[in-house]
This record gives sequence, C-alpha cells and structure tokens, in this order.
Amino acid sequence: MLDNPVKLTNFKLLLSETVSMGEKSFEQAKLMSQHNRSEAEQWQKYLNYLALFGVEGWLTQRIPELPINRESINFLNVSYLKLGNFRVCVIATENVLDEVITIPQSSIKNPELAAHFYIAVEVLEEAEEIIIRGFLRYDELQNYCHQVNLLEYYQIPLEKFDLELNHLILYCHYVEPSAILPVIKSNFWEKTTKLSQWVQGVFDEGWLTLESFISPEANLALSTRNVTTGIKRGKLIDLGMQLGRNNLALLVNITEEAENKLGVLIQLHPTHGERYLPANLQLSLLSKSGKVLQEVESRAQDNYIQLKHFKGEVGVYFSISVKILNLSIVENFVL
Amino acid sequence: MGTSSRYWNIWRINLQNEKVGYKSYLVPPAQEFVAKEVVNQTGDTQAALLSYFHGKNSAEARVRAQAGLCLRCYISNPILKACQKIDNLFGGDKSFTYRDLLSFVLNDDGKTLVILDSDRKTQLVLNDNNQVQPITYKFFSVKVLQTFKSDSHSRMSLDNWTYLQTKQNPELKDFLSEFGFQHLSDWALLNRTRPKQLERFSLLHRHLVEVFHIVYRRDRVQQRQAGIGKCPDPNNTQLQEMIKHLQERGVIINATLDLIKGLKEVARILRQYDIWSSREPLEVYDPDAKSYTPRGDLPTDFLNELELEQREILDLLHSSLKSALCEAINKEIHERISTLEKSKKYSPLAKQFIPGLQLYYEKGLSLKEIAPILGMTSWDQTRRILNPGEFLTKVRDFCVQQVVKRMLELAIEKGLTKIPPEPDYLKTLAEEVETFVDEEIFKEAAEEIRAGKNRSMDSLYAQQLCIALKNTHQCV
Repeated sequence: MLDNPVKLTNFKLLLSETVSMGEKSFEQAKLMSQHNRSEAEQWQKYLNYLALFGVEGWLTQRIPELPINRESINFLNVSYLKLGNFRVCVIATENVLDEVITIPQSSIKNPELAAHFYIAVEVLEEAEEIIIRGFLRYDELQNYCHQVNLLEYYQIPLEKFDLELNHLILYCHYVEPSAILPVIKSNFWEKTTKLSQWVQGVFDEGWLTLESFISPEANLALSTRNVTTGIKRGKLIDLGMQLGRNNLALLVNITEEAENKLGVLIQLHPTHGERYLPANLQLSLLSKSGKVLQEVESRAQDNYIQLKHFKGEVGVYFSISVKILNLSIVENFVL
Repeated sequence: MGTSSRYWNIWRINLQNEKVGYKSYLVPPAQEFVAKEVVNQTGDTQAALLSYFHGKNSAEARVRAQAGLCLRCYISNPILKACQKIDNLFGGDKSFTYRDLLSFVLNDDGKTLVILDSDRKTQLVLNDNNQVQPITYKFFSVKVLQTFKSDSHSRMSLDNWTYLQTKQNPELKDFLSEFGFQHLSDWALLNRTRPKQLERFSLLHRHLVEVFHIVYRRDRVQQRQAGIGKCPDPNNTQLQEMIKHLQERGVIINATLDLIKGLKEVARILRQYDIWSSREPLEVYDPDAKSYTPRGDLPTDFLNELELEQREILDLLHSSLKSALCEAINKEIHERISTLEKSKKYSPLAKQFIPGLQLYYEKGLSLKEIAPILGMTSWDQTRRILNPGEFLTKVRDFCVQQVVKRMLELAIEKGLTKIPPEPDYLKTLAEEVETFVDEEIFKEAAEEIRAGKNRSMDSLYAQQLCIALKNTHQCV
C-alpha cells in the first residue's frame, strides 16, 4: 500500500479523446450553418455541426455494430444523434478552461429533447480537431439537476462528466435504454398542460378558477379589455424561499380563434393580498426548443405583468418561464 | 478506518523519473507524528492536524511544525493533480506540459520544519535547536495552508482549496499567459471569445471583438480553405467593413493599421489565463448537508478494498489480461492499416504505418524525427498517420471491454448482478477494471508517450506492441 499510496494518474487526463476533422466535415458544416439570422448563431451552428460530425465519426469507429443517424434538431449549442436505440445529445463548446459545460434546460427537461447521453465536445476550429471531454447519462444529469437551482441553462461542472468514453460503449452493449431514460414520462417532467382540452372543459390539477384566487383586498382580475371572453384559469407559482410567502399567480386566458387556432394571454399577478409584484421578475414565452420569443420584466410597482397576446395552431408546444434572480420555474403547454 | 498515508507521503519533482518528472517520497517524521499524536485520537485526522498546526491546543513549536509537515504532504497530491488537470484542459497541440508547471507550485522539500507566526502571515523556519528564524524560500504548500480557513462554516475541502490556489498561483498564471495559448493564432483566439470573457474589457475592446465576429468569423465559415486550418490575417476588405461597423457604433478608427493594432492588443489581453479559467470553487454546495461535496476528479485514496468476491474475479482475470492485450493490439494494427488504405489522402502512406510505429517504439524516435525518414511531409502528417496516443487509447478501451465482458459473465454466473445490469453497476465494474488495467499496463504506457526527450519505450505495452509489429510486418 505504501508503494503506491494514492491513485494519481487518470489515464484519460494524459491522453485526451481527440478526433481529427477532415475537409468534408468543414464543407458540410459550412453548408448546413448558412442562412442563420445572426453571425453568432451561424458560428455556433457551425461549431455544433463540427462537434456532431466528430462524435459521429468517433462512434462509427468505436461502435460499428450500431446504426447511427443524425437528427435534424440543432439549436443553441446542442445537436442530436440516434445511436441504435439510444439518443445522444452533443454539446459544443470552444473553451473548457472554466470547467463548466452549459446545457440548455430544454434539452434535458423537455421530454422530446431529452437524450440518453450528453457528450461534451470542445471544438478546436483552427487546429481542425475536436476533443471529446466526457459524457453524462441522462439519469446522472437528472440527479445533479435536482440539486441545483433551475436556470434557463444548466451549468454543469466539467468534472461531473465521465471521462471514460469507454463507458458509453459499454452502456450501449449491456444496458437497457430505459434504465437510463425512462420511456414513460416520469413525474419529474412537468406536465404539459393541454390548452385545447380547456375548451372542452377539461382542466389539469392545479389550474383553478379565478374565484378561488380572489380575496376581496387582492387586486386580482384579468382586467384588460381584450380578455372579457374566453376561458380563464390560474395556477399558484412558488418560486421558493427568497420571495418569502410571496406566491405568484400565473393566469392563462384562452380564446378560440379562426383556422383551428387558439389565442393565448398570459399574465402574472401577486397573491396573498400583495398589491405589487416584486421588481425584476421576468415572464418569458419560450419556443419548444427553448428560444425566448417574448419577454417582459416587472418594474418597481407593477400590479401585474403580461405577455403580448399571441395565437397558435392546435398542437403547438410552448413554455412560460417565470424568473427572478437565479430562480426560475418553467410551465410547459401545448395548444 | 485507517489514516490516509497521504499524510506522510509527499509528491516532489524528480527529474530522474523521466517518464513523469515527479515521485512520491516517504516522510518518516510525518509518519511518526501521525502514529504518535493523531492516530489514537477520535475524530477527524485532518481537523486534528490543522488545529495542531495553528497552535490551537497551545502546542509547542515543534509539534506545530510536524503537524504542518503532514498537511504539506497531504496537499502535494492535489497540487500535482491540478497541474495535470490544467495541462489536460488546455487541449490541442499546446507548447507546455504539466511538468513545466510543477516547479512553481510543487516546491516543498518535505523536510524543513515551518510554522506560522501568530497572525498567520509569516512563514518561520524552525531549526534543530527549536529556534525560529525568517524563511528564505517560501513553500507554496505552506501558503495554501496559511490561507485555508479551516474553521469557517460550510468550508470547502482542503483538496479543493489547494486545487483553486494552485490555479491562482501568480507565477503559474504568468507562465500560462505566455505559453498556454501559443498554439492559437490571434484570430482564432478572437473567434472563440464569448461575452463571458469580455466582462472585464473596456467598451472599445468589446466593440472590436463584436465587429471582428460580424465580419471575420462570418467569412471564416465561408472561406475556410481546405487543409489550411490556420486563420489568415484579416484582409483589407474585411478590415474596411469592420471600420464601417465600428463607425455605426460611434467608434472612429480610420486606418486599417490602427484597427489591426487594436485587435492584436485585444488578443494579447485574451492570452491571459485568468480570462478563461474559473475563479469559483467548483465543488457543489449541498444545502442539506450544509457543506460542499468534494469534487469527483480530485484525488481520493486508492480504492484497495475491493469486495472480496470481486477481488477473486480480478485474480481470475489477471492472467487473461495479457491475452486481451495481444488481441487488442493485433486488432488495432489491422484496423489502422485498413483505415489508412481506404483514405484518399493517406493510402500511399499506409505501408509506412508499421515501420513508423517501430521507429517510434523500438528506436524511441519522435514523430518529428520520423517524418523525413518515411517520406512524410510534416510532423502533423506523421502524427495523424501514426497517432500513437489514439492507438494506445483504443487498445486500452478494447482491453477494458474484453475484461468487463469476462467479469460480467462471471458476475452473472455468481448471481452478483441482474440481467441486464444496472448502469451504475456497470460503471463501478468498469471503473474497477480500468483502475486495474491502468495500474498493470496502461498508466506506464501513457506516461512514456507523454514523456519528453530521451525517453525509453520499455513498458509492458511497448514490448507487446513491438512483438506484434514484428510479426505483422513479417506476414505482410
């Protein structure tokens, strides 16, 4: 024991998992990252594709027996592959010196974007290489995310990632996909509230009539002109300790519109007899992929805040996030 | 539970050890101190040592110094590990290794008795006559202990504190600012800059980076020349466009030369290690336990108490590891050659693969030296064709898979796991196998690849590889 008191050398610290990138990958990444709205978006997409192709090449070599297919999803800093019955989310970054990997919340929490494995990839654009920095299983990541506050992005310490890519190969060989990512939606995922059912009078638990919120002294009413019609329900939102007993009420008003569309108005009100919302409270509308479509922030003395009225076809997913400081809550909806 | 031997073994630089450049030394006074003063006490060894070191129990100077020595041994480990980790995090073909970092931080001699004066600010040497005198050469390890707040509530672990302090060592940071990004051009460095890095920059500098991105990075995607990775200097058209964008932002720069100068100045600042690294403790705060959970990647005591049944299995497999190694080497040689043969770019050089690896392992030549001998055009080309590191990684991974497969079969036979195994069970099993095969074979093999000049390739892996290369060469 004394001869070798401490396990010191991690093999993977000495030799990183590096993949050289060929011309073809660059050419393809260029073509596929065109037509983006901003330069920053284009650059990130370009990096995403390089990371994706690098991982694809690595997997083809290491797990030749499983079919690999690219998925078309590519947003923020992630892209996806299907590997046999497993789904792989590739996270692209250009720098790991800060020892943090940033993952969009939706790529973990949105059931349609969740993957079995999350692979962190450092793209060395100039050196024409990628370094696969490690990976996490969905269940490991989920456990970790339970411990930390909810943010729009998860900042996962690099050290949480498994350096041994070999383990990924072993999982693919021996483990049931459902042992890592349950097929049936677990309770952890926030339920997606189906707004089209409201029209038929079906409401999920937690969505209460407005009367149940209103106390005489509370200034709680959907008082704007355009919301006299339609179906209105509200849900209590608890953002945790920081706000004291200051709960919030998320109010949703639905109206039936032409062409199989629904109109939605979202408001955020204080409850418990409070007159004002806390300042700097952000109410955001997010697309299915987690992109912010609309955002409004409370000022010092706002009685309530609301998002601009919007319409969408039945079946469209969106999320509402309520955020203050580093606390946030996301509610998922489908029209 | 026994006391960790980390308290009486110190890691020090050792240039004789050409493979890794450091070595663990037994420190008898520290060992004696732990045996005499600490082992019989109940409670936490580290807390006891810290309280002795800080003279809390009115310990005499010698006792304080000896307790300090134990702690200095203990933290030599995370210091070393931090250097290796930084080396790893830089990635790419950087121009330094962790060995260059060791001299800044792993400078404790493991002998000199040092105490702190009452305000904890000054290091004092304790001589043989129990007299104190000012220190001439400050040990980094003592400095780490000096600043460690052992008594504050919800403190971070000493391991993590040491890791953080190592990253913040001024000499080490200066070195990294000079050499860390040498392999990156100014333009590549600007390309990879994000708002997070610009937080402490002036508004002007931020504008410069933003317009650089708008123009240069946009074109980089479109105009990347095949095979030439290096970012070219921005051309005149690009510079003019950047100037225009700057004007829209109210920044007037007239001459392209001035713009280049400004961009280069930003790049110079960006070469500072601090801008990219994190100053935050990366331990995770666990609100339930009201403390930080230790980082998984910092050193832990060697797991040498495998469950008996598994040890039995390991013994059984010990003998078969060598055959797995041979199989893996042969498989990889054939795969590499066939991949090269299929490659448009490298197929003419496929037949050079075996002679190349032979020069590398038998003659101990570097890739740079091998290139002209085999008619390859550059070091980079040689590296991509031979890639001894990737070869080794694949052989190791294949070995691990083989051994895990055998162990799983046995575990299933013995009813130790269900079928299919749980992910966590598989992971633990694989980690044990990895620890085992790395100790037996691959740690040494990786170290000899990473060693600098005058290395000798004489690990078990190198020997097996040479035999296999010779056999294959004769067959071909």
